[in-house]
Parts: sequence; structure tokens; C-alpha cells
Amino acid sequence: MKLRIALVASAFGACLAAAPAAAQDIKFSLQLPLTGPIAFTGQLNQAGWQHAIDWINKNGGVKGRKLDPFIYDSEYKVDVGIAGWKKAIANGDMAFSIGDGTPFIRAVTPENNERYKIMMSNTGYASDLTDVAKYPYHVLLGPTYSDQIAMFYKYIKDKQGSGPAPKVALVYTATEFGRDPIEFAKARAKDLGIEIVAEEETKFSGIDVTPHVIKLRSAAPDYVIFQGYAGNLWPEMVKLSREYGIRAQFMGTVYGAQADLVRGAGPAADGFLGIAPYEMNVAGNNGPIMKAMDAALKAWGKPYEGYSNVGYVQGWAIASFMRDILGKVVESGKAINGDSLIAAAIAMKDWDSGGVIGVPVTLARQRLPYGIIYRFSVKEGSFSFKPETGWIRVD
Amino acid sequence: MLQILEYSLIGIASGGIYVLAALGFVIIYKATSVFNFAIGEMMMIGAYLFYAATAQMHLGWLIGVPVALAGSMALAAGIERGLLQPLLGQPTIVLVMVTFGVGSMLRGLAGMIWGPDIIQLPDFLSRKPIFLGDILIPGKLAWGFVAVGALSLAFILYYRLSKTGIAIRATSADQMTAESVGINVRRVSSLSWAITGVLTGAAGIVVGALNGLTPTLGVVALNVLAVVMLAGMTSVGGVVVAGIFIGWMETLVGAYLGASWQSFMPYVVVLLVMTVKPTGLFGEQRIERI
Amino acid sequence: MANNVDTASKIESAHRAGVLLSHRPKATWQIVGWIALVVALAALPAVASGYVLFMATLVAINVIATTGLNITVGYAGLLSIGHSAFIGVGAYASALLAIHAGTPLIVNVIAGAAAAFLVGLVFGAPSLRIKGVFLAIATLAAQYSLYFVFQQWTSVTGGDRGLSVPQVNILDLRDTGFYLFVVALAAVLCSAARNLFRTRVGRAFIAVRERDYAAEVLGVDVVRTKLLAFGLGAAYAGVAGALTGAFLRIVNPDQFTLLVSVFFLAAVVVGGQASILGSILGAAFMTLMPEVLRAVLELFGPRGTAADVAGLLSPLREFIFGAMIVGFLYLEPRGLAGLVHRLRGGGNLRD
Repeated sequence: MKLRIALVASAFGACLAAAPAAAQDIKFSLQLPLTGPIAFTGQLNQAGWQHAIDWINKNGGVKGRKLDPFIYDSEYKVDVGIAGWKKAIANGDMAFSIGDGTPFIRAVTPENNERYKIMMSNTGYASDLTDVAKYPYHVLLGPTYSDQIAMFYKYIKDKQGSGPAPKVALVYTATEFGRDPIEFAKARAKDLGIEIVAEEETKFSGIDVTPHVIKLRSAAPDYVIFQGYAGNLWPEMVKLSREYGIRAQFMGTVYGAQADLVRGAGPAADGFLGIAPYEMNVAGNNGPIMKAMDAALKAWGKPYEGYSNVGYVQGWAIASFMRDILGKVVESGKAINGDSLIAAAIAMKDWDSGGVIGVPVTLARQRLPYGIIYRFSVKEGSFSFKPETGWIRVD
Repeated sequence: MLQILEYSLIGIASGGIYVLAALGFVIIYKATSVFNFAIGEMMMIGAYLFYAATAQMHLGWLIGVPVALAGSMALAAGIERGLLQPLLGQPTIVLVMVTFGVGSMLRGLAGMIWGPDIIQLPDFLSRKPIFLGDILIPGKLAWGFVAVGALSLAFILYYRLSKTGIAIRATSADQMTAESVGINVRRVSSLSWAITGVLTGAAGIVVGALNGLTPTLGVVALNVLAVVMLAGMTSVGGVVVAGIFIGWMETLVGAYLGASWQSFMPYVVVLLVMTVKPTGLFGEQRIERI
Repeated sequence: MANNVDTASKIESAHRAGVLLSHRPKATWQIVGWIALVVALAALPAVASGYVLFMATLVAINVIATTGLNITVGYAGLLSIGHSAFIGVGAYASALLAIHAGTPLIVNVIAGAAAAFLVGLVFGAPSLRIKGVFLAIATLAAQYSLYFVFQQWTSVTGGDRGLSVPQVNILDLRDTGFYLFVVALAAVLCSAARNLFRTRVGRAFIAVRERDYAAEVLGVDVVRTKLLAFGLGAAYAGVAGALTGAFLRIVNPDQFTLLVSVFFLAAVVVGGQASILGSILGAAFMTLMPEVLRAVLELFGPRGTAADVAGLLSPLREFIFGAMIVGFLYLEPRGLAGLVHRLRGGGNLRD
């Protein structure tokens, strides 16, 4: 037994020692929630990454070096995510790390700040990630949930003009991400003169939504914002609301506004407004990355009707951003590490995302506070969505 | 005031499902003394069988429902035959753990066959809302309650009047005596599981129709356990009262306090009741004997 | 992959060493076994990667939690399905001390144990007059109520985002120091539990499990014994919680759900009820099984299909998990410990 341990250990040591010599490839880790409560988006996310990496590697890689991911199913559990992260670190030479959700980032950040100093990004859009002093190595490629609420408010205020104070209902899940922007949403509403007429917290799934809809009916809001949903609950609420004669404008933040989900809600969701951090209409977009995405989706063999979902596009978005800043670091001749990558990310002004985001973007507090509001058309037998606004930037 | 009334009606309607599933629980407990933690997963499988029959095999719901119930019944009987009968006589904790394991297996099985995504069951219950004056009750919920109520009633009558019902009650009162008067205790055990299969299958179909269907549909059964504990494990009448009460309370808590309060309130009530009356509201004294 | 095998084989050898101990006539072998075990465990950080060390530490923490649950469930026969809530109490108590008072880890661990013990007593009280599954429901109540407190008492617990726990650096050895501390603590707590059942108090637990009334006739204070058994299990959970918080450096409500409680219950059943060796085996098995399964699937699935495999992996894991519980109860009710015992040709010796 001991002999075997020694053998394994020495083999392992040899691997470690040999690794730098073969370090042409740029290794990084992907902890994704491929199973568990948000597996749906995690799996799409992985597909997006995989397609993006294939495309990048086929098209010159990062200054000739290939991207080499270490993929690990984190199950959306913190300890499993850390296990995968440690495994990736043990494999050596990890250039950067894309991790699971925000709880994972919160867990590893102290140790990462003190010790590993690896650049990170993640799949969630939590508001506290803009605390740059606390998360110096994290970059969020999109708007936080609070930013998204701010975008909706901006839209509502513009729409309402000088009319009476708009009445808004906040409906959110009793989850970490569901509650994330609620404090902000209430405070900002006060500042803007928006009246919050209902604040409904619901479970994430598996409940009868009728009581919540009754509440909505008596609150009579002009706008209903859904936050933190990823399943069939808000579609059920929208259907029931229509039956109850509620005429509010329904709107949803990022994961709750995924095209496939809205489509599944059926005609009751016609006119639904959803925020996206990236362009979701893939076909017909002339950006080079979007064209590559279109080709990849066509070749994938899954049903494809010209649009995609957040998880998939997010994979492409982060992958192409990483390619560009890695390129800058390699060009400058600096070593690839967290400090050089973060510096390059912050220095990247007016990043051209190849069509993934409709305007040139610049990080603010290490996130991209840009989004677009789509209006969905869901009729019997037809489904599409179009930009309701241009690209919105908030502070 | 009107709103409270509205919530109450909806709460009572949703409590009907708890009653049905809890009846399934009680019947097994009475006949075999097994505390069945797999009750939620049995509901979930029933709903998936219905989905398979209607949406995947296009049988239409009139055929789909009996097919799903028959399947659910067969599964329950199979579990009893294959896994529990060989272990009868073992300590309670062993049997409880077995039902835990069975629950996990069923969840895994459903996940492998049907995947993790939320499935919307075909709308077989009319969505058309029902108006009672100014109060509006969603069609699905109302019809679900009617179905569940009718089934509960049918079961209670069967349980009170049929030979099988009497045999189960006799077994529950005293196994030895029951055996001595010629009741086949093993058969009673199998029967009780089969009946539970039907009840939980029906409850599962209704829950699936209302809330959507995933392999984790069974978590609603955690409230069923609260219902059963509140009622006192063995009381059929008590289950009806407790089920409706928990459904009602859950709805009001959700409406006025928010979702974070919903999961634990039933258990706080149970804990309080148990502190005062350990056998539950309608429980028999004999429980302490186990 | 190699790493997994490495850990597994080490743990296996460790267990062999542990088993040797129970064999009286071969005292010298016992000593050799013990020394080998200690050397193997102490040498692990020198040869293992950060990942292996992480998993080894996780196993050791889970061994403590499983041993605690085994005291309650296996030895005293009180079914608890709220174990993770007590782990949470320990985690929060110790994290709060670490953050606000800056006390050393050992103090925080003791405080975590004490807090969990007390909270355990509060929820155990209703079980005094009722038996078996009724306690299970009381512990379910603990599970939900405590989760609610963790999540809602934002000013203290940090709500959903939880608490960020300061770094523990024992003897400036970082991960290695923490690992050694946890393993040493696990060893102390396991042998403490083992010795407990040689004392009057510990035997009273078993007497209560076997037959309440008989125990009472024999002069065992049933109520006090039950409460103690429950509290002790919770205290072990508290220790495990304190260590988990310091280890993962985060404490948030979602770490302490019902699923985690069921995980430990399964560890007890799979490992072997009323057996310390069983707790060790069960915790190691349950912690490492998903990693091994993952590695096996990676071997078979070609690169790039991970997403497709993952969709199957989770339910498969759930199925295997359930099948193992049922299988063990059916074929070897004494779990892995019983299996080990049988493999060694042992008779009906109780661990």
C-alpha cells in the first residue's frame, strides 16, 4: 500500500515538474452547476463555453496559444465547488477561474485574495460583487441584479413621463439571488418617486401561486417585476393574473427572462419585457462572435430558431473577453496572473465584444453595467422578441 | 376581510391534496406500522406516469388517469412485496430508513427517465375561473379540490364499510387478535400499500397539474408529514381536519408573512401541539407503546 | 483520478489499522497498525496535492459529524433528521466568535459544540415523552426553524450571503496545519465516543434503545439519558460545523439543508449503526463516492460530453445513494463496519 502511495506521489510530482515545459496551452477552470437546482442554465453555459473555446482555438487561440479548460460539476454546492477549484489548482498553472455561482465566489475570495490571486468570473449577477475592495480579482461580465432593476426603473420612468407615480410590484423568490436586489429596489424607488405597491416573496418552485396573484390583484400595479426566477412559477403567475384580469406590464430579470422560458409560458406572456445582458437574437447579427455563435448553434444539432439563452451566450461572452485580455497580457510580455489580467481588464476601454453586446463597453467597478430590454411576442404558433429599448447603461 | 376569505378558500382547496396524501400515509401506518418517508416520491411517480400516458403516449386524460393510478398502485405493491415484507419485524428505524432509500431511488429514477426540467402537465383540469360573488377561485384549483375530495370521500367510505377496511382497522388495533380471527395480515399489508399507491398517485397528478412537475415534486410531502403528526398518525378523521388546517395556514402564512415562513410554520405548530399533547390532536394512546 | 484512488487507499489502510485494534490477542499488531495509521495520516500532506488534502480534511470533518449522529441514531436509537441544523448552529456560533472576538480555533470549536448542545436540548425536549418517528418530526422542525433563523436574522448571521470566516493558520502550516488539527480532533472524538460506550452512561444509551421500560426498571433515567444522547450528537455536529466554517471560510444557510441531514443519516446506515468504525467508513464512503463516480464517468465519457453526462450523473447518484441504503439494510444491516468484520472472519462481535 505504502509503495503504491509513494509511486502515485512520485508520478504526481513528475507531472507537476513536467507541466511548465508543456505550458503552451492556457489552462483555466470552469466550475459549473451542471446538476442541481440551476442545472438547466449550467449545462447551456457549458455548451457555450465549449463552442467558444473550440472556435477560439481554431481561429488562432490567444496569440497562438490554445485555451484548455478543466471542467467540474459543482452541483451549485459551495464545498463541491471548492473541491473542484482545489483540484484545478493542484493541476497547476491555472490562468483564471470561472466559478459556479456567487456563493462559491464569496467562499473562495478571502483565500484567493491572500494566496492564489487568480482572476475569476461567475455565472451569477449578485449585487455585492461590485465591492471591488472585497472582490479585487472578480470581474462580472454583465449588470448586477440591482443594475437590472435600475434599468427597468429607467424604462418605467421614461414611459410614464410626467404622469402619476408609476405603481410597481416586486415579486421575487425566497432565494439568495431572488432577494439580492430587493433592498436596493425599494430604496431606489423612493428616490425616483416610484410607488412599490406590493412586495411578494415566493418559493422558488413547486407551490400554488394563487395567493400571490390575489395579492397582486388587490395591489393593482402598473408594472410587475419578477426577480430570481428560473422555472415555471412566474409563467404560472402571469397566466393566472390574466385570468384574474390583472392588466399590469410584466417584466423579468435575466434568468427569468430566458427566451425558452418565456416561450413556454404561452400566449399569456405576450408582451412580456425581459432584460438581457447580451444580444439574444443570434441569427442575422453581423458581429464576428455572433456569426461564429450562429454557426456553432447550427452545427450543434439541438433545435435552433435563431435565438439563444443567457447561459449559452454568457459562455461565449466571457470566453471572448478572456481571449482579448489574455492577448493584451501576452502582448505586453507580462506573466499571466490575476494581477496582470485584472489590470488588463480594467484598462480595456470600449471593448468590442464582436456583437455580443450591442455597444462598446467599459468595466465600471469591475462589472459591465449594460443591458437591453426585449419585448416578447408570444402567439399561438409564433414566437419572437425585439429590442424594446437600445442598450442601457446604468451607474 | 374579503381577502382573508379568499385566501382561506384557496388554502382549504390546497389542503385537500394534503388530506389525500396523508390518508395514504395513515393507511400504511395503521396496517403495517411503517412510517413512510417515500410518500412524496410515490406522488411524484404517479404524476410522471400520468405525464407519460397523456403527453408521451397520447392516451388522453380519461385513459391516462386510470393508467397512471394503476401504475402507481403496482409500484407501491411492488415496493411492499420486494423491499418491506422481507424486513417486517425489524426495528422501526430500519423500516423508516428503507422508505428513505426508496424515496431517493424513485427520485433518481425519475430524473434519469424524464430529466430535471420542469414539466407542465397537459391542462386536463379546466383553467376557467369560478366566481363566488366577488371571490374568484382558479379553475384548476377548484376542480383539483373536487377530484381530491371525491376520492378522499370514496376512500373513507371504503375504509369504514368494506371488508378490507375492517380488516385493516382490526390489524391496526391488534395484530395477534386479527390473525386469530382469520385475517391475513400479510395480505392486509399488501392491500394497504396498493391503496396508498392509488391515493398518492392521484394526489401527485393534482399537485403536478397545479405546480408543475419535477423529480423533486415529493418535497410537498414534508407538509404531509406535518399533517399526519398533527392529526396523530392513526386518525382518519383527524387527517381530514389537520390536512385542511395545514393547507389553510400555509396559504395565509405565505400571503401575509412571505415564503420564508412557509416551510417551517407547519412544523412549529406540530412541535407546539406535540409538546402539549404528544400523540397529536386526534392520536390514540397506543403510540407510546411501540 | 489517481488522487482519488490515493485517498481512498489511504483511508482503506487507515481503517485496516483501526480494525486491527479491536483484535485483542494480537496486541503487537495493534500497535504496529496504530503507528502505521498515524504515520500515513501525518505523512499525507507531504505527498498529497491541495485537492487530496481538501478531500481528506472534508472526510475527517464528516467523520466527526457522522459519529455524532451515530451516537443519537445508532447507539441511542433516536431518529434525527435535523442533524445539519445543529451543524449550522456550531458553524454560526464559532464563526461569530472568530469574527467578533478573534478567539483561536479551539475555543471556537468548543463554543460551537456548546451552542449546538444547548440548541439540541431545546429541540430534543419534546422527544422525551414520545418515541422514534415523533422525534424525527421534532428534528424536522429543528431543521426548518433553524434554517429560517440563519436566513432571516440578517444582522447577526449575514442572511443569505452568510458570514465570511477569517483564516485559521495553525503553526503557520495553512492547509496542512488545519488538516492535522481536524484529523487529531476526529481521532480524539472518535475514541471518546468509543470509550463512552464502555461506561455506564454510554451503556444506558444502548439500554434505552433496546427497551425503554426495561432500562427504566434497571435504574436508568430514560428521560435524562435520551436528552443526553441527543445533545451529545448535536455537540459533535457543532464541532463539525465549527470546523466546516473555518475550513470553507464561509457560513451560509444553504450549507445546512435537509439534504445534508439525509446525507449524514445515509453515512450512518451505510457505515454501520452503533459503530465508531462504521461512522468513519460511512463518512469516508459518502464523501468520496461522488468524486469517484465523477472520475469513473469522466473515464468513460469522452472529453466535451461532460454536460450530457452531467444530466444523468445527478439522478444516477441519487439512485445509487438510495439503493445503497436499501441494500445495506437488506443485506448487511451493520453496514460497512459489519462487512469489514465479516471479511476478517469475525463472529458476532459488537464493535
